Amino acid sequence: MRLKKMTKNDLSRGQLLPRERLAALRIPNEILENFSERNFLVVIAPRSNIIKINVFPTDSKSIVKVLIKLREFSPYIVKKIASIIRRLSLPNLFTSGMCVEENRCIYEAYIDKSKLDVSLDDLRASFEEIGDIQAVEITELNLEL
Amino acid sequence: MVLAVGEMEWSRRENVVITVTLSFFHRKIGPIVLLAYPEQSLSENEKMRIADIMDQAFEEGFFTHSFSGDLGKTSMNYYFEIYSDWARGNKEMLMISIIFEQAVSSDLEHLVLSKTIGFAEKLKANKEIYKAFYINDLEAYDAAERELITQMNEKIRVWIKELYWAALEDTRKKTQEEKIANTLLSPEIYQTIKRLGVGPISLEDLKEWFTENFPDSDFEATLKKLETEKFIFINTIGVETYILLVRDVKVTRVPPECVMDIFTMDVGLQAIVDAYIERVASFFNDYEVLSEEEKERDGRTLVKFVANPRTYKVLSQLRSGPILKRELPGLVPERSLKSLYQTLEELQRQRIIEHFPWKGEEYVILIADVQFSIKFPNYLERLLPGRVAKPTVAESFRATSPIKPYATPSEPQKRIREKLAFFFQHLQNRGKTERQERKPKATAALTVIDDESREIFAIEDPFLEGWEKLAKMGAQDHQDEGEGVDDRERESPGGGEEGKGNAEGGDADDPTPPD
Repeated sequence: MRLKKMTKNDLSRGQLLPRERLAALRIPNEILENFSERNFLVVIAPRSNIIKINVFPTDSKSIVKVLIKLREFSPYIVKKIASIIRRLSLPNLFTSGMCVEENRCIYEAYIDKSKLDVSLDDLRASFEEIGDIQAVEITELNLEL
Repeated sequence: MVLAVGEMEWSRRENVVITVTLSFFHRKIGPIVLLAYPEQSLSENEKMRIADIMDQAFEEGFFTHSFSGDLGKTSMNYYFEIYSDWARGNKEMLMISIIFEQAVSSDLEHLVLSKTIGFAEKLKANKEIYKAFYINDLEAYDAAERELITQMNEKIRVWIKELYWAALEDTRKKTQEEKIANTLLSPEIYQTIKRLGVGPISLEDLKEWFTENFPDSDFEATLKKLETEKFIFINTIGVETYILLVRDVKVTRVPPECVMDIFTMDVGLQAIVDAYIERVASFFNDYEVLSEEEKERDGRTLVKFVANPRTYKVLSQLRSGPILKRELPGLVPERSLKSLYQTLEELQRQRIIEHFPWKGEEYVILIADVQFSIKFPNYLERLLPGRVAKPTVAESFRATSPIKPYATPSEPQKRIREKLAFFFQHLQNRGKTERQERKPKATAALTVIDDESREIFAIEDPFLEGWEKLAKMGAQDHQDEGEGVDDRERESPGGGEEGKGNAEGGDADDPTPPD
């Protein structure tokens, strides 16, 4: 299938690819030209019958991923997360949360490390204080050259 | 970084425009937007695009979505399922979306998300609510079911509206109160609003008064600012021009809302919540007996704190709950520590915060939050028929939704929650003029013991009449009594014989509950 050039009337660009070419997925240049940032955070979220891919432009060379395991999303817990984000002025790029099964939910946040003003240990400790959560995992994503 | 002067510019965001939608998966059509509020804010095309987002959701959870092209908005979406007797697999698939016209900060997104989760919990707790989604298929059901479908649909419509206003309050609160505080910071604006509060004044007279009192200030610029901020309306009829104040601002102290959040989360925190409430109650005992002039002077000080980004940051943080004092240094860069401690000192001097020792630890707690109430000017208010303000703190506390999904609060929790709501509502109503003329004869101590759990709860309040009745009230009784608070306040001073006797003879230190 030939790619159609993006115009103002396009909401998206579609490509039909065989499996072996998916591993080398290309973003067309005419889309990339719209962004001046040097790097991109790519978040790949596999689901049961779809793979969601979100791409966020950023100048950062390092991203921190915070993963919180909890039993459920309650208004209290989410408010506490909001409070931490505000208190630490967390530069979030992307957040999402999902309950993969009953009593097993996951919250994720991708944070621009270059704009983070606290240490990773302090970040972890802040989230661990929320209460009624099972685990906090913090991973660093460095620029892949 | 947070909490430090000069380190971070508090962004002056404009009011955020939002729309709330509820989508559900129709068994024949697929995902559709069933309800939107405000109702006419989205076109059919926009609704279709929002419903399509539902295809991205498979498990309960939230995600954001950006609309490209002419829609140019972002949405925070929460997908969940509820029980249904009529749907395939006995579950209805739903998605609540909050659509923002412009980008909002991550913390604001999360605050709004917490409200949508609360909404979802409300739906999950009602085993009949699924019927609301069959409002467009009424002909397929008998009369009794049709009535129930309509009832449930109405209920959801009300809840959607409440969610909208709650989300708007979250987003608006963070912009309006700072904006208002910065407007009121200027003495010429503050005094002009007070001057206009008694009634319309001719432009000529107002200018004369203004020039006399603020000779170095710009009258035209002040008027323009007031007009832009929608405080005044300039009305010219013929050769006469009058300035009318159309909205006034009252700056008051209110009990902090965060106490309710702590309470509803964990019954094990009961003791610390009780101690916190005692501190708050003690403060408001003193605050409520201040004269109107003293309260207004206090209000002008509060305006300065909200207008100052440094103090406002601390205030905002403490609104979420107590902070451990020993953790404060870890929250800011070392170079900002000095200004942080200065900020805390200022707030403590003004009795907005207190240091709170508890079991070997020291916390910093918010004793009195600041509330900006937009109201009708006094001269207009007198003309309006029978308006009674709804105290938002008490109303939000009188939540009927369960604490967790698939669970209901225990009876002791419900009873004590109702009593707390009554107490906070009472505190908020005590600012009325009638109350100001009454002096407390003694401080009445109220000890409430829940009959079943034997949990003890204590309130001190010199104005609390009929407190022995309160001690015996259950949650249901109290709901009826709560609406009578305003009626009791309008009675002549002294109240009923029973209440008066106890107020006079009561011993503040006596924890003995009434018979």
